[in-house]
Amino acid sequence: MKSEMQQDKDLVISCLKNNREAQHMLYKRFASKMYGICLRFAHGDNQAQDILQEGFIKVYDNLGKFRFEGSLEGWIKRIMVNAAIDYIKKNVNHFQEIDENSDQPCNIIEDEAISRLSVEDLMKIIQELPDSKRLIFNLYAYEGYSHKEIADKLGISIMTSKSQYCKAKKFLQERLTNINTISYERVH
Amino acid sequence: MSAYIKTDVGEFLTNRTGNFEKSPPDELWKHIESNIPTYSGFITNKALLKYLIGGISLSAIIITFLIIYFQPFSTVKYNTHPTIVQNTVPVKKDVPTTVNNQITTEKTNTVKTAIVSVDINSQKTLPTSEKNIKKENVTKTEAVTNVDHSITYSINASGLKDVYAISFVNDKNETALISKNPTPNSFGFYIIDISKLAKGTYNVMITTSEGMKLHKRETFK
Repeated sequence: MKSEMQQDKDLVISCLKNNREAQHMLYKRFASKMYGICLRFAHGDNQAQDILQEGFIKVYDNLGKFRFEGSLEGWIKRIMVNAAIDYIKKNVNHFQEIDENSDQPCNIIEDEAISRLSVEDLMKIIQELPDSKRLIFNLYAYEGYSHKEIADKLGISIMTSKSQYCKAKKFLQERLTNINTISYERVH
Repeated sequence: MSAYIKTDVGEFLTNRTGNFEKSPPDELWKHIESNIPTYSGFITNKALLKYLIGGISLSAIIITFLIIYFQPFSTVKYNTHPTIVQNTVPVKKDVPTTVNNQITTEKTNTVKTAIVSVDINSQKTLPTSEKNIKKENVTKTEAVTNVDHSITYSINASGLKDVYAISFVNDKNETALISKNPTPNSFGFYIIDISKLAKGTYNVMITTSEGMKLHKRETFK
């Protein structure tokens, strides 16, 4: 039985031979995962679909450059994140410089009400974040970027990256706390 | 009663939504599919492609150079045999040699030309170079000049016996020219070259065993 790496290699080679079926297979294999990522970065479904489309076009354009040195999924994910950054950067005129203490803890009490929230509900809360905060929150919390890397990537200061991330967490904390309160009030 | 956990909002969301997946709408594939490029061949390695293009270009240059260098009727080859053309032009004999003739043909023509030159000038040695041919032409011209410009004076030998000398005496009674013991030619005439004789009137005197007699008085202009 072929390893996943070998399967990826065969798939890429078939795609480069202009095999439409293989190209569609590659899309089907990674579309759901990548669409999930796009939804986190986007403000809504339409934006997420635009980012996914742009990202996959870049994947096919650069497929010949894939060296089979890492996983195909990781390579596609990197392209998709970059597509999301480019897309959001087009819409954000500037990142607001916030100079405040960014080391404040933003904790929530994971109670019964919050636990009952579905993944889709949580995704919607994330999508409600303003563009700049959502972008930085995704890059730091999900993609593992450091604040320095984010600052370099977006052309902002490290302090701005930190403060924007903190603001994003506060926003999410408030939203989740509200849900908890509404849920508590309904019960009692 | 369930235990409530205090957790960071970032960690909480990452844990819950980190692996979120959702199928995109089906029509999205059509948009993407229409933008997939057609891959030319199966050369995915850019460096390899560069080397391939470079190799093809280099081969093309080498082949072009070889074709030009070994072309049989190139101007370079033609210019290496200028003497063959020069030798054939002044003689104007036999088959005319064209520029595009093979080298062997040109050489044959040159030999023929040389032989013709020998016949004309009655030379025993074969002239092989252009210089020789030119020299022979000059010699021939000089010979013709001597015949054309020489002035001879002829005396019928039929009535004369034992002629010792024929002399030309000027008005000052000086012998300007004398031909001793002349012999008649096959037609029976004494031929005396008088080209060196100055203009003027001379008494042509014939000396025989009977003594010197005036043959004729002649004026040369």
